[in-house]
Amino acid sequence: MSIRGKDLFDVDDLEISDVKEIFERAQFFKKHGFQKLTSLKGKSICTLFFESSTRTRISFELAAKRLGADVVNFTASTSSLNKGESFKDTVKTLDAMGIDLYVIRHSEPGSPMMMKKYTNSPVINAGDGIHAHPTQALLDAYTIWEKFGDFKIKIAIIGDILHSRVARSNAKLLKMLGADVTLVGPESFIPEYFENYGVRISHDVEKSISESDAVMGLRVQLERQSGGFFSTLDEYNEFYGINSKRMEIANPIFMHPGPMNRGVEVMEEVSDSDSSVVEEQVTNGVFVRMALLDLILGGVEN
Amino acid sequence: MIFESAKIFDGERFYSGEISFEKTFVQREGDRLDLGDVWILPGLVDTHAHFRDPGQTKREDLFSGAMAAFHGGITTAFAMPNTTPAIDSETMVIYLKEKAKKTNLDLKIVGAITKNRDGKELSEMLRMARAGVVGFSDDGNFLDDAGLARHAMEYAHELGLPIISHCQDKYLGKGHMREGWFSTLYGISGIPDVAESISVAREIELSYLTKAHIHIAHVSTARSVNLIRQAKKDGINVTCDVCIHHLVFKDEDLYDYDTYKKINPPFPTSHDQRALYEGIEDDTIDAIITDHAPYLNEEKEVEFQSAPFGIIGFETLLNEIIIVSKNGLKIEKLLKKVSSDPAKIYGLEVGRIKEGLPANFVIFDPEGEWHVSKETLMSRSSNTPFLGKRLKGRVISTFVEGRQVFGDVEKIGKGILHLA
Repeated sequence: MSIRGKDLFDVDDLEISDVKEIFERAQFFKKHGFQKLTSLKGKSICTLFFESSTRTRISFELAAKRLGADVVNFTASTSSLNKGESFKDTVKTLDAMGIDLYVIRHSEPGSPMMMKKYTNSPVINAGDGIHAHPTQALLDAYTIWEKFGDFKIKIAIIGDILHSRVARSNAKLLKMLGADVTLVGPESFIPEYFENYGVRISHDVEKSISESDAVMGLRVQLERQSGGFFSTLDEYNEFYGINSKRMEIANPIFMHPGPMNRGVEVMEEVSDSDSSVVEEQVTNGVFVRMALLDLILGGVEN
Repeated sequence: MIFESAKIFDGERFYSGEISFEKTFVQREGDRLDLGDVWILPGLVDTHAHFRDPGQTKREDLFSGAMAAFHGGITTAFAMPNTTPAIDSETMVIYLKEKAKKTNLDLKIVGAITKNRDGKELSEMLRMARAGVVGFSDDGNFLDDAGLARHAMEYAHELGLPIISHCQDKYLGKGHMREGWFSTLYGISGIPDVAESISVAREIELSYLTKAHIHIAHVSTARSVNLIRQAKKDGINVTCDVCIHHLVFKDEDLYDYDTYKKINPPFPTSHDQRALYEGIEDDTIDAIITDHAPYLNEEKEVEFQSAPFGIIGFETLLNEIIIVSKNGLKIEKLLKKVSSDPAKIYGLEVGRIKEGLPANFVIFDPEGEWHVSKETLMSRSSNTPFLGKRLKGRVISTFVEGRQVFGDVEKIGKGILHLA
């Protein structure tokens, strides 16, 4: 199996062997450091961002440019969408210009699949609503693989699970790779249906962290307060926040997809500590995305 | 004219024989046509549809809607009041009734409970009743104000007309599909089942208080079915219907984010769908409706959560009934739920083949097929998940008061039938 020419809507588009191949390619690129390669020379990649995200867009853009591809960026705030052009027409217009691969971020679930009605080029989902964020899950898993060498670990994902595409894709991928996953947070953030991912659900943050090899914090957005998902950020932090007292029992690594709300889901004493791998996640993100682009667009063999 | 068939459905059961008719079904001699095994059904009765007329006629109007109804074998249809402006006055009711006369369709009008369907002030229910509405509904909007709903029911009771309630709590009802494992998996915001049953429970309690006939529209959850079953046992004046699409599709079918499958209430979980089948089986559910809801392609071809709720349904009703009958429900039961049973709820003298009733009937070839496309659909809109598919079962022709309003039955004779 190869992912050449394929789309990546979510992690379950991948076989375990594909994941291994991506990791090995990412590791190869990482060994070579940030030197410029030419395997995607002459390829045009378009990043389509209907929802603002600086870090993911830049990570993809760097990955593509380091492989020698030409990159064009479409961001909704500066483009035709403001003039009322539909998603459909936007994609059809771009496609008519000859794009070899799309990277799409959208606030609407399913929009990467919808895009495929209007283009034959491969599409990589860079986050669609609360549905999926497969490249984040891949870079998270890659980081775990680097740290632990395998997936025989316990990981707690803590925070607003319900509204998190990162939690969904990670639950799928980490289960697929054999990790023991626990989703942690208040009941309002973890409907019981999440058990169907084959994960455990816990509302006891202290116990969960104390039993984990890795802890992943998720952003808790202030806007959820108005929906009654929690009362105050302060109360949330006290009962569900990741702090050094909770971390010191088992001393797991700390991960976070960013952007972090320090003082809400995590205290600075943890996010900026030695157990934090947040910056490595960001670094690995570029290499994992390089690997994906290289494998999908069929660059030169290493 | 006399039609013979081995499969005539009179609204209750199939028999082998003949029908003779003028404007009504009568006993007389005349030309005979033997239809063999092709079915003759009463003109179907769809008590929940959106004709988009007036004000939204790019999607549909009474003429295109009537043709679509005839193409689906429907001869009596209810127009829900969510038009622009809303059907909330006697003038609007008269306007629609007059316009409907030019279409041959037996159109029944449902008046809005509140002015502009905005849940604030009661509309002129007495005057609309004088103009001939068959019931009242703020369709699409659940009337939050229980005090206002109580008084609306008191008027409805006095008038002997039902309140048709779209039961959905607006605070719990924010979402785009049924909440459950599949909404979690697909990352689409979910509407919990109790958003419906909480409102159903309130309507049952208000019916207990006012003795009004409450009709729950498009029931879609097990808990609603259970509440209604119990209320019926308790002697509450409650009836309900289910949308045909909810018997065919489930929440998991939204895996492709196809906006042509987006509907409100959303497609049921398999657990809820089983309860809907059981509700039909034991007659807790009184009728099957289409909730025909035309939308333009450009309105539907947008991102899933931005797309409006609604699917057209007239033209595929019998095809879907065939599909559902293969899932275990008896065909007679299903046909009854789109003919004599809905007529009974509203006290209408249609939906049966019986001497003296209007000669509204359908000639339907269950072995025939048709290809669903923008060209073959008579509706002005084509927002159906069946678009591009071939479906089993084909309406050959439809008669209203003895006149053929759709199709070409004359061309049919024994032997050439299935070549069509």
